[in-house]
Amino acid sequence: MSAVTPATDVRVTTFVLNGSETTVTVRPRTLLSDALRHDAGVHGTHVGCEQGACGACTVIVDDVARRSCLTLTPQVDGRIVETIESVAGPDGLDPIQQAIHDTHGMQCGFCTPGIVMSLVAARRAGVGQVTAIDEVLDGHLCRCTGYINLRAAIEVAWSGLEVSA
Amino acid sequence: MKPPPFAYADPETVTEVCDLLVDWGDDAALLAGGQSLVPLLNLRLARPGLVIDLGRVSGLDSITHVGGSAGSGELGRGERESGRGEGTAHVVRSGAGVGVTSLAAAHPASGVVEAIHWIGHPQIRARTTVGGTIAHADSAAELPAVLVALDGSVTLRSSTDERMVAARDWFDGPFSTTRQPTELVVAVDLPVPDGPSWWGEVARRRGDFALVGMFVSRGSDGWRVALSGVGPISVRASGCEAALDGGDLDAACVALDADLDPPEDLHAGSAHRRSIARQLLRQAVAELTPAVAA
Repeated sequence: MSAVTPATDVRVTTFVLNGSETTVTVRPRTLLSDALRHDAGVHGTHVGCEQGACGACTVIVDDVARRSCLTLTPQVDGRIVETIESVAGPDGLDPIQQAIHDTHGMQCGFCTPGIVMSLVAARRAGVGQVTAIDEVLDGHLCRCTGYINLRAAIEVAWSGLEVSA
Repeated sequence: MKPPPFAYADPETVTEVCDLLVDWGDDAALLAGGQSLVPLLNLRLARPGLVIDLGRVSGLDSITHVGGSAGSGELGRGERESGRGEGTAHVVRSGAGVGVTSLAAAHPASGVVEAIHWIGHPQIRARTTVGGTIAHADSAAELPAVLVALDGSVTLRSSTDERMVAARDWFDGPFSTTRQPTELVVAVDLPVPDGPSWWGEVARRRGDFALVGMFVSRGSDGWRVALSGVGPISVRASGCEAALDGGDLDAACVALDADLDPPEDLHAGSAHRRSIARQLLRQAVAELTPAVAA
């Protein structure tokens, strides 16, 4: 019989967060989005709808973009989690971030961390520009840009990339 | 919102899952990809005592091509490995934990592949499992309609038994199946149609829930038509199929109307959904019978 963690008990969850081993001790019902913000101390992941529709909370787990609000914290035990804090390097912004900056692909910035994480995962998977615009961006709500400048940002960020489709 | 409190377990074997189900029964919720269950938890529409995370259960992630007819008997009979598109595989059997994108890469039928491409947004689809979407039984979802159209089947295991349920006996009502509280979905069989197949869907945005989704195939045993989004469960349009088999598209549209009882909601009225369904049917028939279309 596998161990059941009672609802009122905490559970130790250890994962690699942005390259560093991280342990949070939270109740099973704690969403990954909340564990990241409240327990792991990284606040860049934004919490919007908490039902998977808006995409603001998107993070990368084991190289795949997913909603941290639809992930229970114990589910990432032993896994590799990346948030927006990991994207910029010592030399400055990631090309995706730079493109969003250059094309003014954001206004209030609430949706931006999730969009960046989706695009980073898409680029890593070799997703092509058309798919990145039509499908990956479809998974995010942005109420400021009308997506026009975000599409432009993807075109800039994707120019020169070798992609599959 | 945040989920209500629940106990949590992440067992590593099907046996452990079944043992937990014996103890907790319908107070347990099974967490597969979580793209439907976790929103329900967050909205507090679901308040399980225990969440059983299936993410670490081994043995639920294989895809096999199975010869012979589905539902013919015990698991493994007539089973043999075969390559995609060789014509010897009649059924694609997915472990319940298989991601739908993996199924899309393995299933030869273009209608199945296209249906999967309409599941959610990429960030959701990447987490969606075959067993999860079939067990969740959302009538607006894609794979349940495909299962019904192709007369697929669902394999269940409990601590004492294993059984296979045909698609027509699986869906029981809105978000409801004939799964017993002590049973776990371990595999889903999707037959390969022996002719062309097609999926079409109309949604407000791609990735949103379907206003209407439709699977159509044309094989040696005739036309198959099933829809999502038009009733409490996925609908097999048998009257429509019979009319198509008779070669009368106009009659098929009339019959389709009689086969459906679409809901009225914020997103579309009943008449609108009927109209979309007829349009999808005409499009499907045109694409699956190029000679007639020309």
